[in-house]
Amino acid sequence: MSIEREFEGKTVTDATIEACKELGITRDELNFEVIREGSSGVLGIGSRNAIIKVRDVESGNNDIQKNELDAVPMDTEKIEKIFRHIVDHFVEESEIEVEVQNRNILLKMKSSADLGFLIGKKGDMIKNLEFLLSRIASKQQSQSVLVGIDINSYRERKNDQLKEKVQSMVEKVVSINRPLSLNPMNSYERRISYLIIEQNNEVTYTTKEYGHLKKITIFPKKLDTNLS
Amino acid sequence: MDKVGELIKLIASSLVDKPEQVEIQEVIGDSTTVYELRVAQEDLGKIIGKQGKTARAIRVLLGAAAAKEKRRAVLEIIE
Repeated sequence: MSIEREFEGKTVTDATIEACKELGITRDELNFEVIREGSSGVLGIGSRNAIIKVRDVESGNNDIQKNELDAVPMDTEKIEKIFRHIVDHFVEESEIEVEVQNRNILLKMKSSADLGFLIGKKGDMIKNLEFLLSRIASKQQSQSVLVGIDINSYRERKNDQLKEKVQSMVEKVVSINRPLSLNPMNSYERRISYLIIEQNNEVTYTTKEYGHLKKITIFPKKLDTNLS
Repeated sequence: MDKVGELIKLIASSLVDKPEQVEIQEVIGDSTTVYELRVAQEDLGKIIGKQGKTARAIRVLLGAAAAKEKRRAVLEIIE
């Protein structure tokens, strides 16, 4: 069954966002045609909304796709083998547990030996390993797969620490009513931070590129204009 | 080839389209071992990665693996 629907927005982008929200699909899955480009007019006079026509909207289509994705058997053998190979180089005895969630693989590792080598300075080594293994896994599956590594619950502890830090930062911003910046973080850490920041509706945030990382600045919503 | 070399080879061949063309050569010096990695021309980008990210990750891993054996190791990617 094929349905056509039209969506309106200030710009084409706005219209597509609206359409995605309404249909519960991602931008990539959206099949649309631009009917009319929006124009802002002069000083808001004569402005026209953009209109797009979305084709092939099949209800239930989305669910089928999702099921198919889940059904793809994840071949973790190779990843496990490579990870084990790497790990064996550093420690003699270790236990590795593989967990598959959706399209992500989580490697849980436990050992009584010193695992500092595998963690690296500030988790550098873990991040590198995760990156490499993700690349390898994505290659094997021909779709993007994220590989996470947890060494003796290091990741869990680190996540908790980060959450605590962001939470205290948010509280501080509210109490002193001035913006504060967090250290540059990667996307995984930022995701955790955003979730914490968004829980507090007295603050908002901006993100700025910082090398290959990004820096989050938390602002109080009611900025005291007397301070500047 | 030693264990470190094998490790690099395993990782490199899992990243490329033509694993049969991955070659590693060791050049052993006084304190430093240089690993020369050769891959098919079209796979070079996969080994290096966006802004050298993949190459950097392999180098860090290599460095740590060698440090464990109290050696130094360098990865050279040969074009």
